[in-house]
Amino acid sequence: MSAFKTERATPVHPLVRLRGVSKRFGDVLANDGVSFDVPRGSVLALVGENGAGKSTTMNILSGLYLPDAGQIEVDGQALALGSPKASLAAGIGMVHQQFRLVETLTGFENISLAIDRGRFLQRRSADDALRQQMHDLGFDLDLTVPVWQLSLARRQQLEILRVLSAGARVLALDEPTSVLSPIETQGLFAIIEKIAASGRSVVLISHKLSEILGVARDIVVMRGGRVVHVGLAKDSDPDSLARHIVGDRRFTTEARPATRRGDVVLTVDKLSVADHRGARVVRDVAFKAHRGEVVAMIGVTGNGQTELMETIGGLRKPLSGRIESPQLNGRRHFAYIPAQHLGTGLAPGLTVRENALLGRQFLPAFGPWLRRRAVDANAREVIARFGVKIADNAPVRRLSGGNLQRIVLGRELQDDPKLIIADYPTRGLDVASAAQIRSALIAAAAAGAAVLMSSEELEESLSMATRVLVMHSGAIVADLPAEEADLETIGRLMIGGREAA
Amino acid sequence: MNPELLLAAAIIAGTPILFAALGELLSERAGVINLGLEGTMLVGAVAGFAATTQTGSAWFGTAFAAFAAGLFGLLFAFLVITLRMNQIVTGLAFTILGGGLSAYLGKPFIGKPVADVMAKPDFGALADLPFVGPAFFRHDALVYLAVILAIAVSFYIWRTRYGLILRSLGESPDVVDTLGMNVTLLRYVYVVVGTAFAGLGGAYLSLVYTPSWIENMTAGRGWIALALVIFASWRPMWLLAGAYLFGLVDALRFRMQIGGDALISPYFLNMLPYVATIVVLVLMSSNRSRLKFGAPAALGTAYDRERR
Repeated sequence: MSAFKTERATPVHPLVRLRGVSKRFGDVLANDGVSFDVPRGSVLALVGENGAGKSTTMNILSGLYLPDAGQIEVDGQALALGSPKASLAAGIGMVHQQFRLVETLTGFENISLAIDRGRFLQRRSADDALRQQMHDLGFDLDLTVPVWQLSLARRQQLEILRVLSAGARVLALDEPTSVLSPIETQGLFAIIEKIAASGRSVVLISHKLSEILGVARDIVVMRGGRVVHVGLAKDSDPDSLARHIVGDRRFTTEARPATRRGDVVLTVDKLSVADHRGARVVRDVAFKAHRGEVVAMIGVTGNGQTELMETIGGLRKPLSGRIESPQLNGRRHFAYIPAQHLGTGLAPGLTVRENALLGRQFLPAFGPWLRRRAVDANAREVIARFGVKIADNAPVRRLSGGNLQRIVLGRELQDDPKLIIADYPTRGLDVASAAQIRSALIAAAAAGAAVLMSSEELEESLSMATRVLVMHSGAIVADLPAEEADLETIGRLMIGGREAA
Repeated sequence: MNPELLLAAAIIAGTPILFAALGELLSERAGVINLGLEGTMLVGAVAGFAATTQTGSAWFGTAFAAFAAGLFGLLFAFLVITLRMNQIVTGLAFTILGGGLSAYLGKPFIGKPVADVMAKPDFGALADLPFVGPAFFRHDALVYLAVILAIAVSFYIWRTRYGLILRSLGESPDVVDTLGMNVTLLRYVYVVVGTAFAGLGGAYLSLVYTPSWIENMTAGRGWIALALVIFASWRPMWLLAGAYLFGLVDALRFRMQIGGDALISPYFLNMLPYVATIVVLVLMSSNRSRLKFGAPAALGTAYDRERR
């Protein structure tokens, strides 16, 4: 312990101290001797790629996972591990990426779930302490409506309110900005600063560096289940952090293809679509996509993008409207990359070899009984496209998200498609995989395909798209060439604001 | 016949369904669908009859029926909660198991009269009121127990903190887990208490309604109760009304069979339990209809914290 004492800048001991925390899931060592301190009254950012072990660490801290080894101290007291109850009692509050709210209950009922105030439920919608807390944080929440009626940003506020009113001293937020628009993100950071200023600690898990450097004081970088870098935000710059995050792998992003519009490949006219509950989620959408274009569909998640993509992909029946793609000859020249790679894009229990064959199994090259040699060659071709090593005889569910998406893309791009529909092609992927996926899509557009992609990252969309469609509550609210689009305008349009404020 | 006697008959015939449906409601609110309700009622019916015969006390027999059905439910809970077996398939198996087990255990009791009759509560002057008296105040104690249980369950679900946790348990068990409560333990409790309620329904049949042990004497009431839980949208007070409505249909069926002058052929009414079975299976296996009826979101799914 003395070794750590000398490293600390402040004389007070840290609020949370993790030492040698390890956790194994099957063959994967998700956490490998993780040790770091969370100081009091400040914001610590835990950064790393997907699969770096950040969420596992936080799930261990909040008691959901029982680690195989290691200790955690809160305020100098050893924490009983593997018990959410003990973690809550010690003052550790977690806001998960997928909100832990009961959607059919009201906000007040959700808070009552967490706080024991006697056997019977209070009828009042909010008591004084709760109202004071909402006032301090600047929340404007109606606690009497069921959660499913609240926006994602409001739900997040409700979770934060619940965690704090349950007495949390450490607030851990797992990827809190992934569901927020840029303006909502600024609001969240203002809240985080208020919480830290009140003497509580905030642990922010993220993979968006630009955001973190503005709000965090300390930065802990994880890679492959280990802590690889600990430092102060003021001494860090995005480039050096990015190197810590990805290690010594090289990756490049190609520039967007030159805007040379070819023929129209896809015409969508007056299209309306209902979701599985029967609510209209796409309203009167009309646009065209040309060869050589990368069209980025931007919007806050849940504004109809996925339903629109699925309808164009033929997975969903439209309520009304028209989709035409005269140049396409059936499935052959059409590529569809679904938002969910495992399950929709790939069959989890089949091997890489079998998945690479799906959709092509009736081609004469494979013969009537699937010639083994042709099947193997096909798999090698799909894998080789991205220059990575993937064993082709294991079930695909064991692969990482990046490799899953490489296989989907490798398969879909095989026949030089003329139209590529990619629904959130880089979501949840690590930096290196996302860059490769982007390059592949840009290269396909340069080769004459029309690419229609949805994305939740503005910078990504603007860096690679030639045209930008902004979606808000089911309608296309803007259709601009990428050069004319700037972050601020689009950010405003995404949350339903006017083009010029 | 007199309307007050028809009403009384409806309440009597609705009572076993009410017990079973209340139990199923607790189980389903916790996220566990128990299609073995029919079998569980039969286990309760035979256990209650046997214990009454042995001890000569109908009250003890009733309590034992709840206990035996609870044990049967504990086995079901172990299979679907701990071993995470498919709830639909396991439930169907328990319907068959309960039917077979009760028939085997009940062999010695066939044709025997019940050893003890429960004393009816005395409401004094209330029972002598015209119409109201014969309709509501001359029933067996278990009839009133069912009503009290329905009101108690309703209060518990809507007004207590544990009820709030129960409502969350079937919607989002992950939330309950994150907040430091034991999902597995809570589900065990509600499944076992729920099956004990169904056992009370069985005991009412063999000790009060018939009263004797007959093989397969529930005659589809478990399935009716299952359908009722869905149509009542998992609300206890709606169950109370629905159970008596089914009771009314049952009472009418009985009159028509002896009266001869039938509005609907009694054969169609006899088909009701089987129609109910199909309706339950169809409604519970389609996502769209589950949403429409407001089924608990996690109904029928095992909870596994570390599933990734």
